[in-house]
Amino acid sequence: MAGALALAVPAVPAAAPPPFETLRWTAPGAELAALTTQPAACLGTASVEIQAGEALFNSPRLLGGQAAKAGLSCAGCHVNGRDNAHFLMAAVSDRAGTADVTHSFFGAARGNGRFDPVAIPDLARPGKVSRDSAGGALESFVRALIVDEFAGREPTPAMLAAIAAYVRAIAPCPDGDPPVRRALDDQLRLTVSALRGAIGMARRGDAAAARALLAAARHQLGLIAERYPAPPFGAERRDLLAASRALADLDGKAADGDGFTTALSTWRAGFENGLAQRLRRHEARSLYNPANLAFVAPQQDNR
Amino acid sequence: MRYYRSSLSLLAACAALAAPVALAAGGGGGGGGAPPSQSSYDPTIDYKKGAEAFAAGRYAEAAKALKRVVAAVPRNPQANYLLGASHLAQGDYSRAVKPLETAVRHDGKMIEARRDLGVVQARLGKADKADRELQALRMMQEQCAVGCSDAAKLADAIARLEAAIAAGPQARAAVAPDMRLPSAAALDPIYVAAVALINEGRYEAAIAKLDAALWAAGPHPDVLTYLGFANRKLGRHDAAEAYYRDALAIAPTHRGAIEYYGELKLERGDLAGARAHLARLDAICGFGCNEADELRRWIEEKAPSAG
Ligand code: HEC
Repeated sequence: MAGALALAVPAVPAAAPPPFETLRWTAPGAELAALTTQPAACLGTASVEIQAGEALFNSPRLLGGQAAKAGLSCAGCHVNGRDNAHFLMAAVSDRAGTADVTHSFFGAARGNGRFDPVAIPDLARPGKVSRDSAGGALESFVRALIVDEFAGREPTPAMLAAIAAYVRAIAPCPDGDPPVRRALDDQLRLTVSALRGAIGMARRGDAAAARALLAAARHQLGLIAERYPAPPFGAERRDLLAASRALADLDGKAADGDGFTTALSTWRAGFENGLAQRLRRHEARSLYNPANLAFVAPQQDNR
Repeated sequence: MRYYRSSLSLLAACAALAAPVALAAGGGGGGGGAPPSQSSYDPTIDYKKGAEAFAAGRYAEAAKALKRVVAAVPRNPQANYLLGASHLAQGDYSRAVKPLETAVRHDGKMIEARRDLGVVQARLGKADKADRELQALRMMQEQCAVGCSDAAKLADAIARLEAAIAAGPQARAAVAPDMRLPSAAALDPIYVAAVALINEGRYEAAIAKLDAALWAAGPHPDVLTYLGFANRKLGRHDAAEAYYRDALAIAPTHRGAIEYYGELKLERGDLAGARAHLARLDAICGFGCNEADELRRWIEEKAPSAG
């Protein structure tokens, strides 16, 4: 296949690693598009549960094995719950926009020994799997995806319910779905959704779900860091890292009830009033601005 | 830049290697807290040069590049073999001995290395040493039932070595290397197949694929890491450790190697060692990563029995 290359793979620093996670599964030539645009999302009113589901859907650590190690989440294939026309991964895709989700590369349980990639579906459209909440077909499908296909750990029932609620809420936009710009706000929104979700899950006594949501929030902070290189953003990067570590420190306290939820609320207030504001002020100078991404313009094939 | 799409780069990317020059961004997956890797030498680049020169019959050039690979990854059987075979092809028998011996020591099943080491010893007049390789090949032939995939290759190697021993040091004809390298383009499918086999628990088959990947790519830290993993699952802890150490010598912040090596330490009852690996992962993965999650879980689950 076109994009899969072997000794073009730099093992070591001589060539830099992909600076943006998403480019690990982006077709050649589509780098700039993947970094700057995304399919539109029209969720309507999003409850805390739906927001938690969306945060988990965007978290690679919901999955296990190769996907998690690569930083691939549900949203890597279903951007904003839709599709991903640019998705391309060696031996998992046969052309951009396709994936073989029954490949033992991700997990053995559903490996079917064949290479049979299919187009990644837009989850806003009706598909094979019933979205009807009676019967729970969607919940079982998603559970099998996480555990069997992507070798992830067993999600708690509340995590599954949240992801299913999110998937059910994904809808086409009334204006005909023009692609929209990627922006800092995507990450800020998902970070806050994850925290709200974590507080909700902790209140229900679901510490595992709360921890999964903390991991989801930390991942979003990492995605922000990708867009704020040092120099000039050394201070912002340090603060992002410190914010992430503060969440990591809370990881072991997810079963602590009030202490945990209070600490998360404090973190959130500090983040929203402090670092998030600074990041917003600098967004135009960051790598969210397509004008600053000229260096990712499609590369010549120099082999 | 098309390495972005390579499955192999999935893990390379996880190695949190040095930051790009223009853009010191850490990976969103969690590379942001990583100190830049200390290592600045990529042995796969020299391996590729060496292998290409070797395939084209430019043996002096091949030896030059491969020497650098061997200096960085002294145990790598493939680079050692190609280096030895390059010397052999140039008639430089005494220089061929050491790399070929190293290749045999670290991969006793490498038929070409045993064959060529035997031939070299015969040319050097060391009949007893040549005979040792011949016996080793015959032993492999015995163990290789009639239909085993290496049967023809073994028979051919034995015939050639017997001829070299019969001819002794008087033989003058140059020894043309007989080694077909898998093409570099085959690497991705080989690697993906190897990882799939590992996921299916078919470790021996995975090791064969990973060896093929080493021939194609040279000592790539991802491949070495998975060789360590598969060997560990087969209970070969020393071999596993050697692979992890090689991977980390090339890529000191390779997350997979740090995780799996930590798990090996835990299996050996070295709880403090495993915890040190976890601390290292936490330092590298500023925004969290699956490797730290996994090792943490191993330590939480196994610590009581291991500690
Ligand atoms: C590697 C890319 C990839 C990832 C990652 C991925 N999917 Fe998918 N998804 C697909 C493909 C391809 C299909 C179509 C499979 C088919 O038709 O057999 C699909 C199908 C689905 C469907 C069924 C749509 C229908 O037809 O009704 C749902 C729901 C879904 N995915 C949700 C998820 C969730 C939730 C996750 C994360 C746990 C996820 N996907 C991760 C590629 C992916």
